[in-house]
Amino acid sequence: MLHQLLSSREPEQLTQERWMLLKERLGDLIEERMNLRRGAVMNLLDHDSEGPLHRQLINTLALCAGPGGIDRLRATLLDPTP
Amino acid sequence: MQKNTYRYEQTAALLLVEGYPDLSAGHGNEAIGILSAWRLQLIGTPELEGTRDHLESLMSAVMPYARHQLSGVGLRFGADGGFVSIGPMDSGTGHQLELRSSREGVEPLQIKLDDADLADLVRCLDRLRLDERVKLTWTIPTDQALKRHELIDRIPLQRRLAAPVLGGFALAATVAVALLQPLPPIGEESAKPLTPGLETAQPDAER
Repeated sequence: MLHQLLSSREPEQLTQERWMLLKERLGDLIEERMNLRRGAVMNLLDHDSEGPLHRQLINTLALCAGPGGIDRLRATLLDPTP
Repeated sequence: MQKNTYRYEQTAALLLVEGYPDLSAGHGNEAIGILSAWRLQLIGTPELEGTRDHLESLMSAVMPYARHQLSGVGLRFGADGGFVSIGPMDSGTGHQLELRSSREGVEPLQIKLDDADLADLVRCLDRLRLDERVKLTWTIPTDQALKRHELIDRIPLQRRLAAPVLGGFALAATVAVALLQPLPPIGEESAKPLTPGLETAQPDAER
């Protein structure tokens, strides 16, 4: 699924539908589990599908998958706040 | 001596390594201690192959690049004179992998990768370097938190300059207002008595 979302070889329309599905599912999960009165949470729900935020989320998941991904993710989380 | 072949397969990448166990180092029959060949197939690109140095060069460029991509930093990795370099595309999205042959007169091969290809390539290389059957030591940098100056580039210039510029304007405005305020004349101020009922002290001779 991650590969299909990120791949440029997939049909454009199919890719857009997948991004819409992802946005809907992610939105449902956020609405179920997070505090919707917080501005940051509402900001997550307001983003367009296939926008920079969703693409960054999926790209991060793709690069953190696999046996060495956890080390990359841990190092990224330790980055200083610029 | 038994030749071992291991394959690491993802959707868009297939990495094959061949080698022999290093019996002098006490390796088992299933280990690879001496790499004899490797082949990498990426969808839509010619098959790549080479020596261990080439594979190590590929790892040394791709793994730090993926690490920096996770932090949103798009730097080019791979020495200018090395076999492999990788960086973000000059225009548009994607990544450009450049492979330089060690043979004379062979033009560098440039391969365009999308995010999915890069993730698959990274997973294949991860599986190879963490495979316990492959007893090779790879000289690639460990994953560490980036320095603050490395992350500063991912903030747009406008956002970086907004705070100092606003601060400068605020300071300039404050100084301008302070300069425009009229100061009380110094002579009149000193001539006035401090309080109406208080008289100045007279010398003893005048009393």
